[in-house]
Amino acid sequence: MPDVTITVDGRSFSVPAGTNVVDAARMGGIAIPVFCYHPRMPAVGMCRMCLVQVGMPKLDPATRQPLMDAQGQPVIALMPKLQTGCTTPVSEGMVINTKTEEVQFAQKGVLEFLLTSHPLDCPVCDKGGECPLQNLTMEWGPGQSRFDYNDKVHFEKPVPLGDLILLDRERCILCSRCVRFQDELADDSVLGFDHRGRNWMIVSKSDPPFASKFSGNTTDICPVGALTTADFRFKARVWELSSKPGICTLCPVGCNLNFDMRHDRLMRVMPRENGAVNDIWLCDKGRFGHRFIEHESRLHAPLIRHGDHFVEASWEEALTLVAEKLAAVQSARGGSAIAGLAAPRLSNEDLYLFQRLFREQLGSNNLDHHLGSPDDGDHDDLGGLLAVGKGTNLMELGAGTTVLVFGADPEEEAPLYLLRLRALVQRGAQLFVANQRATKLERSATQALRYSVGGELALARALVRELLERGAAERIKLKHSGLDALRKQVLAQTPEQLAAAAGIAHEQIVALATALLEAEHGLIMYGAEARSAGLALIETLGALAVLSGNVGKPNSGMIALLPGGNSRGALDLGVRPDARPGYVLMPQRGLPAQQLWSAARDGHVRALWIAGLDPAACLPDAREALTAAEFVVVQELFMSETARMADVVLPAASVAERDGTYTNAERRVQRSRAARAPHGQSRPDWQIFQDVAQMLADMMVLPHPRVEAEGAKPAKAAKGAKTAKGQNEQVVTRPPEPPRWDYLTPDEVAAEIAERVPSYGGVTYEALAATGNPGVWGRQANEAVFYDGTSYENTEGIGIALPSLISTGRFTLSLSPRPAPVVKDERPLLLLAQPLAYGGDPLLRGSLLERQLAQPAIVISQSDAEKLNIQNGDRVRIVSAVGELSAAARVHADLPPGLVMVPAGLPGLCLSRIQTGPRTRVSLVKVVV
Amino acid sequence: MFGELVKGLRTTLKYMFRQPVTVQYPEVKRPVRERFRGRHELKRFADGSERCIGCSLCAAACPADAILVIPAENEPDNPRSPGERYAATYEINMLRCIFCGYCEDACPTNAIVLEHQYELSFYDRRASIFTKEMLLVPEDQGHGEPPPVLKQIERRPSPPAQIDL
Amino acid sequence: MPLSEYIIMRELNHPDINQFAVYRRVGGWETYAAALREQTPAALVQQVKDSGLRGRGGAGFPTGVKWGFLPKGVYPRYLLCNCDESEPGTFNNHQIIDRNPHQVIEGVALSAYAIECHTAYIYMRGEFASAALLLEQAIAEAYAAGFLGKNILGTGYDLDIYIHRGAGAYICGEETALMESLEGKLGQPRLKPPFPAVEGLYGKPTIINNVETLANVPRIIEKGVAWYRSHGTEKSPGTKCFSISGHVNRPGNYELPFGVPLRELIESPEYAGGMRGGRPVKIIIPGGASAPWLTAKHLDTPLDYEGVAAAGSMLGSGAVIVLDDSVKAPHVAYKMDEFFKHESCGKCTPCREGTHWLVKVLHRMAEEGHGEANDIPTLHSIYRQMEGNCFCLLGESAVMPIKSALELFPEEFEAIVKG
Repeated sequence: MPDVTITVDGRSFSVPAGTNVVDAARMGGIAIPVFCYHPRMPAVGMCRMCLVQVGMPKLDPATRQPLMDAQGQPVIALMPKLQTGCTTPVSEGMVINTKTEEVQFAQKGVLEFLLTSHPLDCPVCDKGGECPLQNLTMEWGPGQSRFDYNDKVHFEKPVPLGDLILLDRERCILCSRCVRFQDELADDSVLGFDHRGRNWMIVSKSDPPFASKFSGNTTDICPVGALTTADFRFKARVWELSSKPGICTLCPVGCNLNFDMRHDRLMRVMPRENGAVNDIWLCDKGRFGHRFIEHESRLHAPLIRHGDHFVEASWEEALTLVAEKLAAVQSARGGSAIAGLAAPRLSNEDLYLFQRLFREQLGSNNLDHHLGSPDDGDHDDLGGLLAVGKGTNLMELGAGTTVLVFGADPEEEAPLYLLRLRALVQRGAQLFVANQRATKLERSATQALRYSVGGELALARALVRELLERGAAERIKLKHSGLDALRKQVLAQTPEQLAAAAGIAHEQIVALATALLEAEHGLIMYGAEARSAGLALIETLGALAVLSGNVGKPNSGMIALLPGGNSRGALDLGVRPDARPGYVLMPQRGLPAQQLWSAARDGHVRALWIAGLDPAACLPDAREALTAAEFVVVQELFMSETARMADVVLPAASVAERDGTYTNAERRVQRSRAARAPHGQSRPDWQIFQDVAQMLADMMVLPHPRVEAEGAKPAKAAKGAKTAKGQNEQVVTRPPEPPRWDYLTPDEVAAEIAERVPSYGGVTYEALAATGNPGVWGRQANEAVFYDGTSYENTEGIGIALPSLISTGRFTLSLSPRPAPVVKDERPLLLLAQPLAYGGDPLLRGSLLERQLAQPAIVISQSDAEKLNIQNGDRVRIVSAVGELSAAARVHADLPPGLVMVPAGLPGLCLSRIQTGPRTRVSLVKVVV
Repeated sequence: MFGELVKGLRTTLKYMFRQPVTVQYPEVKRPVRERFRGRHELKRFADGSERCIGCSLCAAACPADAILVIPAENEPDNPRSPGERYAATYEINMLRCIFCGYCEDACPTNAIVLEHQYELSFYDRRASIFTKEMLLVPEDQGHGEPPPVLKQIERRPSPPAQIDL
Repeated sequence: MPLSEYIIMRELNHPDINQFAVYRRVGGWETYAAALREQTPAALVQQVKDSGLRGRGGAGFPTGVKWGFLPKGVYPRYLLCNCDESEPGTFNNHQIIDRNPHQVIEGVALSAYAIECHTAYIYMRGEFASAALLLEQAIAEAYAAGFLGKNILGTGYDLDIYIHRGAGAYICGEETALMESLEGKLGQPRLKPPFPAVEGLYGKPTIINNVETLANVPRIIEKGVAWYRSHGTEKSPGTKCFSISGHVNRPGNYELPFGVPLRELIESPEYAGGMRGGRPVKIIIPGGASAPWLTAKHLDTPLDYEGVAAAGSMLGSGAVIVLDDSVKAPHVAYKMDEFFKHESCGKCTPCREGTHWLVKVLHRMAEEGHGEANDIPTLHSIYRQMEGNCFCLLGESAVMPIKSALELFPEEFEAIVKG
């Protein structure tokens, strides 16, 4: 947009055309007070707080040139009435006065009016101290009240709008920010207005009330204390809080947040601005779901099993025992008899040291970050290989961008992506949502593609075929192989055949292919449902990204929604049986989690170290294996089912109690800082690994790092397992001597990662602390309004986006297709483990969200229900080849026939008992009581 | 020489029959001025409810950081103070307190008042922390009416949430 | 002098003119049929433009010019007929429909054809139950006779007219709030620009006209521009249906050409027939509750847009309220502002809070007779804080009664303050 020059209070400066007067004045450092206006939402001009005097240069009617006065200055025609700054776009030569007597009278008047219905109960109000109404009244308002308190309107208070948010109607100034946020940004139209005039009021109109995953944000943008969270209600005054910057590890988005602490207690969690990640928002899971940090059931001391019970022990005792036992197993049976699982929510430093401990100290490759359940699926390498490029910032994207969301439910898997993708669409991007069922994001899509159950691969192939037909292959600039095989495979079927198999009209496929091909930036996001279709689908999606030219550059590529907050970090840093950090493939692979349980049961694996995962909760195999194993160490926050079966339980520090870095779905590495001292005697995970490694190093001779000598091969990531064809033979040089185990702080670990893991080069704590250019939200005029008095300001670093692996030139992309997975099971229905934000995550304990946890249910389609004469609430049983499961049925009108959906991860509903693999065929039976 | 002796004795004799300036503390205690700032008290309203609403403004005003307030929400059926909020914990560290009276100034409900008790000495530091129970005046010694903003006057029941599905 | 031929209240005195057959017999719907066959929409718009027809809803904006604002080539378009007549003192729309619903429907249909729209809505005030029934029936009859529906009279033109009944909010008479309400949302004004002619109902170009305005259209087309302009004044051509109420002997609707002096409307035995009991005129509100007040010295003001504006008020909807000296100005202001407070939608602060506060003070003064020392400065500052700062005209209207009362009769307020 061209710039225009405006004059605000006598100062002239340039701003982009089309900016509104409030924002434009702010760019010049001049504050115009606002209540209803919010820069993230369209202006409505309701509160009338931003009234300013606006004048335009008078034009000569004949020449259309500005008239000049005697001094050569343009003649300014002031508008007869004051204008609301938020709804007035600037234009060339505009003159804006914000300090004239008339303007000040109007501002004071509006504030006085607002205060006539406001109780001024600041001392008991949670917003007090970070309240725009307070701040603006101090600066622009009248000093004296002319309105008697007893004449004010009184309402019962507080009115719960839902479990989480409380409304104080007396304080509400009816700016409608919350209603507009829910309608326009969150797409949950759950708030509305009722009555009119002075009785106008906010009501919750959904059932259950305020059913939104973003409800907490309304309390941030509320310019008064009308909306407060039940989580923070009367906990503390805001000026007593100290904000400790953290990263949310509850989903792969990696939102920046602040742990607001009073002394050593967590009072609340607030979003921290990061334009590239979460803007200024935070989902309710991140905001309210961190109460586990202070939960009373946290482990506080190491425990050692004595017969049937645990006895508290000192760290010295516990660690010595662990080291001795592991050393014994190692020397008796070798490293392959030891296995380790680490949760994908641990930090990069933890994960890196965990794999070092296993590979270098114990000589074991039996490493994984999966649970070892039947539906684990393959490791997702393509999301790293073809990841969105360095410099990606979804905030900058709009028109010219095409986003394809394939087999994902972002609202549940990574809630904040919903807000970000919707914002992208509002800025003009095209959003295509392909799924077999209705998801919330679909409502915001430019085009929704509902493929038939099991038709995803056909759809992906149809898209690839369309691109190949258009000669996209000639434009691939990357090192690649297998193109001919791919061509042969997809051309084997006609577009019509593929479209029919996908259940999608050919025109829609063409439209999507065109959009991807013509897009300046193309993003492909895929989630759990796509991953459950196996690598064949993911690789076809990868081919789609490559063929449409949307890889290896900023703002283009693939985003994989993986479970946990740091799955990408675990993959990058080699907590997997087949590759070292940086996707360096190993010739000798260890056991993946899925094979671990049988190996342990059969006595091949004798010792297990499980950090942060709870396989025993839901996997009968794991329970057997843990019973059979000689020695089990569990490193946990809580006494989980797995911990109960351990020989040694080590208390770990939570995310808020230690420093660490985390890699999000877009491969942005971000640093989280310690907000409080570790609970009890708990220690950071990396420190525990290091302590044991040190002891082991003293105790035993290092197993020779045999793997090194053979020369590591860089993994061709996705296709690693198949062949070596087309692989780059580059050998990664590394220091001959492995580093010693003497890290004092995690930043030393991070520095070593930066040095030794190629794509993490430069990711040091210093570099992570850079905040880049202050955005629109940096500290400046009007900050009280935009920050709501609360600082979302990010002074602690916005993280570093890693380059996609393909752009490093070390890898060759294999395009050769994989056959579709063959399902032999003849059962009629496909079981879908539905990932849910409020599923059975044990970290939600102690939070208000516990009340909203999903209820066990078997969700079936209307037509399947009719066929079997099942009503809502009937008890039904699903039977697979390996087991059966029963729960209450919920009939879902929008679910396609042939699909059964069961919430994943609920403690009361163990899906893994009946799963046969990533995809399970089941039959449905009504239980007759 | 003798003259000086007499002179000195006269002074001695004169003061022998005067009221002594010193008092026999602790048997005798000298009254303090009305505005003397001694140990704090947490006052009550006439109806016996606590004046303190747990707003923490005293702690914010305190230059010595001697006050700790942890607020909580009143049970609607059994409120401790008028309004929604009360102080669940209220502690003053008398060793830190400098008796400046800023807390009094900051208090919106006149709950905290520096009274005349000045005998504040402790055998250990922990004893210098005065808890809410120690600071609160007895229930029958309240005064004044709660301000209207804290009274649930004329509260209109809010209509239930509308559900339009 | 009563008009020899009524324009708006056509065939006023013809018995049973509200029967479809009777309306047809006196030439009703013929203009429409002829226009459909013989005239282009553009020609019709030009005629309306030339006639100088001005909107009767209050603003007096030239209708033809408004129609000209429609962006070229953007379809569908909508025509909305505003019959949400809720302002105190205004009651002519209701009676026009009562007397002759067919002329309104014909006017809507003809205007719809002129602006090339195929869907028209008549937004009825919810309380006008009988009028809505009449209109429904009239529309049904028009459909039956082939004047509405698909392929009207074989010309290929389609038109549907729907009646939508409001739920009792004055604000829905404001054009953008009306559209919100019609779309099923909360009746609150929208931000302007974009103006309705560009982006209105369902985001499409929309024309909104008052019932009375549209009722003029068939006559203009039928009898021609010159004939129409022979009525009224140069700038305010045609006739206006004045609703006169208050302390007059014969309150009611009187159709008069523009330019008739206020005095004639009030005193002529043909019209209001003088003041009740011969008492002197104290307050004249010439354009409904939202118009600034006039007094007896303005009795010679000609009743047209320019004349009333020159006197310092506005003709508005032509609802003349005449009050005699038995009323107290503070009381009148209180009653009027009580109305505006009740009808304030709550969207913008000055209107929502300002009317509330005004009424609070005025109630105490006018109803309880109790004034406080700073009441008068407070009232002054409240209306000044509202004036020009509100989102839509409702808040600005609420300023008028109190502002006029304080300007014209300050002594009555002072008396209350003094006790």
